[in-house]
Amino acid sequence: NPFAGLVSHLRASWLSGKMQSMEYRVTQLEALEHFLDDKKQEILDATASDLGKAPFETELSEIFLCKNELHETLNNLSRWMKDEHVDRTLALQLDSAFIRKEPYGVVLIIAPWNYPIQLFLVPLIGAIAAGNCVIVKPSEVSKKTERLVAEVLPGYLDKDCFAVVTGGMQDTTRLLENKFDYIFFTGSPPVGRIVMTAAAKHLTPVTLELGGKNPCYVSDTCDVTNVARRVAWGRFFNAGQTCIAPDYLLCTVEMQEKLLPALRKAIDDFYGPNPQESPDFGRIVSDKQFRRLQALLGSGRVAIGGQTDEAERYIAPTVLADVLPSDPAMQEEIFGPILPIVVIANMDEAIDFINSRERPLTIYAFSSNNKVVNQVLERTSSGGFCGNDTLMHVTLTSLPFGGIGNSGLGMYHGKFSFDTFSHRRGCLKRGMGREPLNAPRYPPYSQQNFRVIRATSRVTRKNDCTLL
Amino acid sequence: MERTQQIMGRARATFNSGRSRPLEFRIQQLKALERMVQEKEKEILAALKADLNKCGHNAYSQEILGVLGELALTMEQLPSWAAPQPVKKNLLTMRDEAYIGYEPLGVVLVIGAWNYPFVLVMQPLIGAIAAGNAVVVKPSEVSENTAQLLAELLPQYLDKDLYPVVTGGVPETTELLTQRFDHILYTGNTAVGRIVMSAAAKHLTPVTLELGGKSPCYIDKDCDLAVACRRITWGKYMNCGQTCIAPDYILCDPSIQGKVVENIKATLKEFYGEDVKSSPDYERIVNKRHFRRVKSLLEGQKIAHGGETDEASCFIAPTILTDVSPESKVMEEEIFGPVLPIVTVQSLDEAIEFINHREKPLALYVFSNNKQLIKRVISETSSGGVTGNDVIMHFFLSTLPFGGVGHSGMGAYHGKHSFETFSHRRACLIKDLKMESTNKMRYPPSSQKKV
Repeated sequence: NPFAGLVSHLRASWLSGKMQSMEYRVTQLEALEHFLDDKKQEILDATASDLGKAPFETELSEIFLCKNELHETLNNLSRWMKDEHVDRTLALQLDSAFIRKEPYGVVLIIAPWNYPIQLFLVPLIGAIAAGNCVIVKPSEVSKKTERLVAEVLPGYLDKDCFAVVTGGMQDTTRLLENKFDYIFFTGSPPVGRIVMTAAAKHLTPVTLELGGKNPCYVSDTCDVTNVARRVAWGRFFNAGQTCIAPDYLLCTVEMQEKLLPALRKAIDDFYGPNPQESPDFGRIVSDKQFRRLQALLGSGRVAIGGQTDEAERYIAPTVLADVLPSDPAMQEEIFGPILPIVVIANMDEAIDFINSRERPLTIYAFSSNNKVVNQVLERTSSGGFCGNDTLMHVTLTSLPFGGIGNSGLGMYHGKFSFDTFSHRRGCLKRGMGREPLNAPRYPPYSQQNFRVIRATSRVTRKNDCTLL
Repeated sequence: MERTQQIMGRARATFNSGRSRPLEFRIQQLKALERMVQEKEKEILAALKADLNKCGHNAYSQEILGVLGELALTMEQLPSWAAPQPVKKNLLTMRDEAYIGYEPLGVVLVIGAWNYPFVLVMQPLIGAIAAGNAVVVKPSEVSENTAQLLAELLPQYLDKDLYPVVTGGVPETTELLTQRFDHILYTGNTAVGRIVMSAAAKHLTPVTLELGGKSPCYIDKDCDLAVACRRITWGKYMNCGQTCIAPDYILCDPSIQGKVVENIKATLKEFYGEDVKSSPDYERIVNKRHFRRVKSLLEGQKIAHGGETDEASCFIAPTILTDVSPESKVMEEEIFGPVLPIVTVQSLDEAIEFINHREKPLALYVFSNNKQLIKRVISETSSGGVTGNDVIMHFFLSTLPFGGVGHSGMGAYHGKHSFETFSHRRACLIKDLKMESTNKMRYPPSSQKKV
């Protein structure tokens, strides 16, 4: 077991208690901010190399969002760490009852390649804030970023409590043989199952941030121009390699006809007449992913885009019209710059379509009629929901970010990250005196004693008259 | 098995129809449960007596009282728990609606245990119903009278399609675990906990596992031994030691070991009289298999008190073992019986190290007049929950989350925590289609200014 030594070293550090103090955690968190500031150019270069990411996108999605999380955490850490006192029953009025937030111990964070900094750093912030030691396993697919993180990050953090492990599938499998106290995984549902099965052997709790096909319903009553811009932005950001991107559109055939020119204009506004030349449009991360996406282009008909360039792993911002539910593009999460449109007759049909499939990470609904947006929201189930825009719900640190069913379990961001990596320990501290108050609970039992217990510990409904 | 498929199919179809979602429906079902508990009190107590030889008072205060309290609390609070929670917005989202919606998960599975067979099914069921789910209930077959009773009563009072009861043993449970649930709450032992989580992993089903372990009880030299031992005796020997949060073993300085034994002995006499076997308030081991298991833990041990057993009635007397070696069998597994080992330690440091060397327990107890000492023990150890200067009591405060950590479990419930365990917190952001100009900043082509 090549990682056993590392894991036990981290566990020993955790047991030593050095991470308990807020000051220690703050130093580590501030070091993360230094990492983002000092190595900004290296991060821009690495993500550009791995994914063709435009500096704007990297600054926004990899650096800015992480700094927001850091600041939110640093601003609130002392409050989050405090014991939470809880309401007591009559019998326990003189006692101290509270919930303590405690670290789990040694945490494993497994990150994917599409937002290779954000998707390890934001969980890491929560894990550190909660007082855990952490092993970070960045994705080997985003090679340059993996190397950057492995070589540079340990220098910023306490090496006794934090480590970066690199490698492929085999190394991850060996890593998972060890006992962790929490595992945070972002990736695909099939690998999510493997991670949870490995965790089950050690009874390790997990958070799984997975994926799915995020439907985007566009009603007939809407501002087509604005819808097209918001949808195009969400779909083609990072060349479509975003777990919360709108995966496919659901609309009537009339709306499809209106949307196509609007989408064409939006794409032209964003990336110019030849997106391959735009510095703002990304590339597919690997040959394997490129080929997978290329195969999806045969679904429906190519209404916009469709061009590819294997040498550059470039796939043009593409919209496929008249896609059938049985087409290849509708069988898997697309995770690329391809937007299929599936035609439906009306909102009810769209809702049934959504409900007949696995619950996605996000559902989008566009309509100038608020009732329509609310109908879609209320009659479906998903990790999160955004009405009349895409992606934005995950930029609010006050909203939990996570899936349901096949799209995942657990959540994070903001305080939810701190809570995810904390064990909430229920504590009751009593006094040694006042023993006569305990007398009714002891044997030998009697009806009279019982009545006393009932009177002092019952929870009555507000409308019940206690005189009766 | 066809029956399981049919039950699941019906529960899921009914859930999908939306029947369990309206708050009025959920409260109506909870009210029906309340009626059931009140009207069938006699039958419930009789089943508990048959399964565990629990006397009426004991059964009522341990199992029924808590359930009635939980029902009252839940019915009262449900509208506020289920209300959407608006969240803090930033400048960009100032004009939007941002909130967390509480939604049911779908079809959940509750697997009960045999030691408190009524409350350990009812409490999770209450939370699951309150959160709007369909619930498949699988009571433990070991406490067969209570299982049978629940299978008869629940369909009489609750919606038959949404809350089916499945009875049976290992084969039936295994079959049930191949089905796809949206959450599983399991109460039982660590080994089966692993099996449940592995089965859940196939469907990416979240789980709450209420397991067990050896809950340590540290007694400081500086404490009122009479009071401490009385409280410990109560918690250890209730339900014949078959309580997941019973103080499993004692850690104390050798100089007070003798006094601890004397105090517990005196308390036992007070509680159960001279002849424990004939006390109506003392229970029995649930079955012969567990009887033999607990009995075998006594081999080679120094019995300071008790030790009498009678297989025919599954009786094991309240027993105290002294100078127990940490390597002995009785210190390896959770005892789950009326046997209390005392392991002596030379210092508080040794006690803390001893506890931390072992798997994280479900509960931890520490007795001392010294508040700083108690604070230190709590902050230098980990456990599901803690009661200081008493035992068991943190279980009864529903505002405290009840659950384990590490091998003693994951997740928590009771009170509002049950509702949250069985709910999905859905992040919702509702924007306007207008105000497009504020979005211009984020669109390509990009520029430093925009950033």
